[in-house]
Amino acid sequence: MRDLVQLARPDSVAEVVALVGGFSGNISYIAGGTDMVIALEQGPRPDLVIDISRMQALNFIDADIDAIHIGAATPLSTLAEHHVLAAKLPVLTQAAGQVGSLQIRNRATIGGNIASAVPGGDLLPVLKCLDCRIEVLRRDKTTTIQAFDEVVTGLGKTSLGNGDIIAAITIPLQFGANRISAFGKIGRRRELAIARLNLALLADYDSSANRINDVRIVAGALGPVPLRLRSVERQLRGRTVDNTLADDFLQALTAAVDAAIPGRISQAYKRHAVMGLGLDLLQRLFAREFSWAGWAKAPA
Amino acid sequence: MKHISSSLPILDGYDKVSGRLCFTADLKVEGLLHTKLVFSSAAHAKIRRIDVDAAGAVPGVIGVFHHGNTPGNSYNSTIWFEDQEAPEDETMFPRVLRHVGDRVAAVVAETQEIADRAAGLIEVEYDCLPAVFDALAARDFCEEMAASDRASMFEKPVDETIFDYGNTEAAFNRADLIVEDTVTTPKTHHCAMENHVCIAMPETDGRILILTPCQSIFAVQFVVARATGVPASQLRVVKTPIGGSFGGKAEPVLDPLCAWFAKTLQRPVSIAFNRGETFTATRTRSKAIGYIQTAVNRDGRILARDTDVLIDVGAYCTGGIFLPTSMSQRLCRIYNIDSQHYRGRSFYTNTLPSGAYRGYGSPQIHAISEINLDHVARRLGMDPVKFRLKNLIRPNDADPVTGLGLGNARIRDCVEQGSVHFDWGNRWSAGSTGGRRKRGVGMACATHINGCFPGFHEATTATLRLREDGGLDLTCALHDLGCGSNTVLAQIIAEVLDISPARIVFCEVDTEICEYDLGTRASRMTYIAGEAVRQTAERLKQQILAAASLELNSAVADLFLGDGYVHRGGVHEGAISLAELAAREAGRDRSVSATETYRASANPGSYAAHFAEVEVDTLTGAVQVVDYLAVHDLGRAINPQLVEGQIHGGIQMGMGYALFEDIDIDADNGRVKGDRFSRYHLANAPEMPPVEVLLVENNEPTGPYGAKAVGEIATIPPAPAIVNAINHALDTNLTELPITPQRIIDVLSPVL
Repeated sequence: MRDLVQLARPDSVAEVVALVGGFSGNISYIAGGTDMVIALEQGPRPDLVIDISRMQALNFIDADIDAIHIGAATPLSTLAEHHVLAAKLPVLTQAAGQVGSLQIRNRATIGGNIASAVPGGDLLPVLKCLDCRIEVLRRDKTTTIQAFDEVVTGLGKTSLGNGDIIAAITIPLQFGANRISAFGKIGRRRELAIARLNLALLADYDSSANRINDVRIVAGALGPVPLRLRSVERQLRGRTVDNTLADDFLQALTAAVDAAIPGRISQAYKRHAVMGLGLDLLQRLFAREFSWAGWAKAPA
Repeated sequence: MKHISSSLPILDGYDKVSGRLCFTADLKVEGLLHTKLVFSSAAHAKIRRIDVDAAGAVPGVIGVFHHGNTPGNSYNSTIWFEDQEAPEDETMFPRVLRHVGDRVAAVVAETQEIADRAAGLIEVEYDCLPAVFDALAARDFCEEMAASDRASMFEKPVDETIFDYGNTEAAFNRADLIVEDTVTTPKTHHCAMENHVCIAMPETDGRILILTPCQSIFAVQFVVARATGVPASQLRVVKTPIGGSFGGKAEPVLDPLCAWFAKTLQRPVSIAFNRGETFTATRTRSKAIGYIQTAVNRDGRILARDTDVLIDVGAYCTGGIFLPTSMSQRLCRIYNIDSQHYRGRSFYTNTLPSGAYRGYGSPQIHAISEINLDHVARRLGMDPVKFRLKNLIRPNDADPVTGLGLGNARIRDCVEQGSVHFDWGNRWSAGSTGGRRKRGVGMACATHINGCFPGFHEATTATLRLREDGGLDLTCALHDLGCGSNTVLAQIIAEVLDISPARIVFCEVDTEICEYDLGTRASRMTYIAGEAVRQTAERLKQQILAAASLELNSAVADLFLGDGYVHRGGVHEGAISLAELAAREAGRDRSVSATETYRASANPGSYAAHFAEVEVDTLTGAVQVVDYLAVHDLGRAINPQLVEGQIHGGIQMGMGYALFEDIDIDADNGRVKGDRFSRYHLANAPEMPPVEVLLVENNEPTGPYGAKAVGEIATIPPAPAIVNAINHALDTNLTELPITPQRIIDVLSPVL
């Protein structure tokens, strides 16, 4: 018989707050449990596990005119299959749809992805790229709204205190009708792969002028936390979308990888592979093929 | 035929999917104790001090075992008959630890939780020794030691096998072209769904009962006897349902310890490994480095071949003595080559031990030879299919080294039919397409054995008894590893006796009631055990007809079996049910039963040709296998659906071997990097290509109903076929498996 852990399954956020307020030991929340169950097997046990997987109050997707609100316990498969989301923020549905396997996506949640803060977490670069706001209920019953960087602080590290819970994520809908976005990832296999490299891109694209007005690009798995690639953004801002842009984009990505992980064993691979990822993103964003000057030099 | 060539669903399928079947870890045993092992964190070290006092003092701990209080008998876990010779280098708890994951101690406690916690309190101090982690370093080390003349067992090659026929040197001298390759294959893991597990308990008469998912109950008995010093007569072994093995459970790893703990503590004891322990402290497929040179003339005839293989068998010999020979055989059973020189050497390294793994050396040697052959074809500018057809053996050819016949060997049919079906000629000559994603096609041939003949007591004894309800009891040490071999055997018996396969009861596989058997190994189930049960069923049929001839007052020649009855033909039609016949015979104190021992007299080759198409992303290095055709010469498919299942599974494993799987030993400290599924990648369902299977059923005269083996060979050609396709797509000569995206980019990026 294994050591018993106290388990609670509250029905409402109010109950959660009441529960943690009066508890002095270590608290863990469990939603999908895709990381938690393994942690419980291997590591030190918390004194109290609070199961929020069935809490309907934390499982929702609401779309406003200017923002999307997502409950922390919303499963990734729900995100991946959400039509409004797919239309407004394809970067998010694409990322959610590529996490783990279908079985994992059915369990894993957006809040859990943030709280685990694993370097290969597919949603993390997306949430940073979209400049999301994270609503945290503190143990002292206060609610704070924080930026992504304020919550995810390092490799597996967050600013969440014992008993704090992520309640919801708000994503502003920037750039109006000009908004385009996409996500790409390289794993070792198609499914169940923990990302070795991923990219999230959000842009203000004037389709009549075929010009990128503004852009945000964030890479995952290039460091302990998602990394904003400002040098790459500079290459794209104000540019006409054509093959020259594609070339400059890929070169800038390679340079960004070189700058991010100099001397790492994985550098040689990632500096090359990131070009494939970049091309995938362009094709996804603009729904057309891009030729690339590198082909001329590529082996026959 | 009624039951042969029919896709009968696997007999225990329903019980498995419904959860009704009890695996070893599911067994409820009263008073069962649980075990946690402590493993070496050093790659090579002497134990200076071990302190188990704190662990022993934990309430609920019943026993703590280590080298100081357990028998130090040397044994080799590979043996499967009593007087078999093999280097005995393993002990239950060695004083000198030879790999990270070697066994230091064990805590046996009332609960798993207590055992886990107490094991963490054991303190070990090591005196570290120099370690080697690969075959090249081991070879150099052994050469140094040989010069000093003071080499211990661990400082010498485990085995060296050399064969020579023809005049290789002369052939190399007159060749138009010699193509040389170095091919490396990784250490890989079986990844059976069920982790290693064992239960042992004292019986009322003092013997120890071992319940174990194994491949040979007798191997378990002999290995445990050697390791513990308990006589085999005091050990009773019963096979439990097995949740996958692929060779991983061919060697008893936990059984000696478990039996010893149960005997010492006089309580039932279980050892159940978790996934990480199964990865790091059981067995693997050996890593091989092959230096191969093939000499050809301009029109594509192979004149001679020189193969030098270095095998890293890990920290203990286990079956490492057989590997060089086993690999060499495969080189002589598929192409007609006038001269060959072969040298195979296996070496100890301070890495986890290798053992049996689906194909036993064949996946390694075929990767080496088939990747090289494609390279030869490329250099000749010749279609690899045409090149192979110029050199493949023909039916009833013989192995030039042993002189053994290869039987109705239909590899040429496999290649010819497969290339037509795959539209090989057009797809190959189309070459790789330009752009970012390049496509290519590749193929590979393979052969594998059918049983252990001419060595190792290649025989199976079976007993069939007609029950009084008209069903049959089959007593035979049959180890179905989950592949459905029992289903196939039931079909064979059912065919002979015209009885429903569902009426056959497979009796417990128990050392107490079964005749000695080698167990499941060497692709011998359908071919050897199948023929054994066929002959037993034929003998039983004669007995049934003899008994019925008295009951039906009719000559045996006028009787025939059908649907559980003996019928009398002709004008005086009549019948007696098998149930009634058995009951009447029982009333006369006679049992209707037959026992036969079948001894093999041949070892034909099974053959296969696989064809793959891949798409390689030249930017990310990702490889996708987009189309696949497997053609197999198996004499006859007793159960086509099970055959297809074996082939699909074999391709999944072979794909992993080609693209993903690698135990990957850390060269700094000997740690296993690929010790969990997030780091040891299998090909998952989304990676699987559409697979088409084509069977060449041309009857092997020595097999039951013409059948030959398919289980092991299915996993042999996929890796070279896929690697050859990658090399076709990229115009490269990648030879280091697995071909990871990183390795592809490493070879492509200098060009860019």
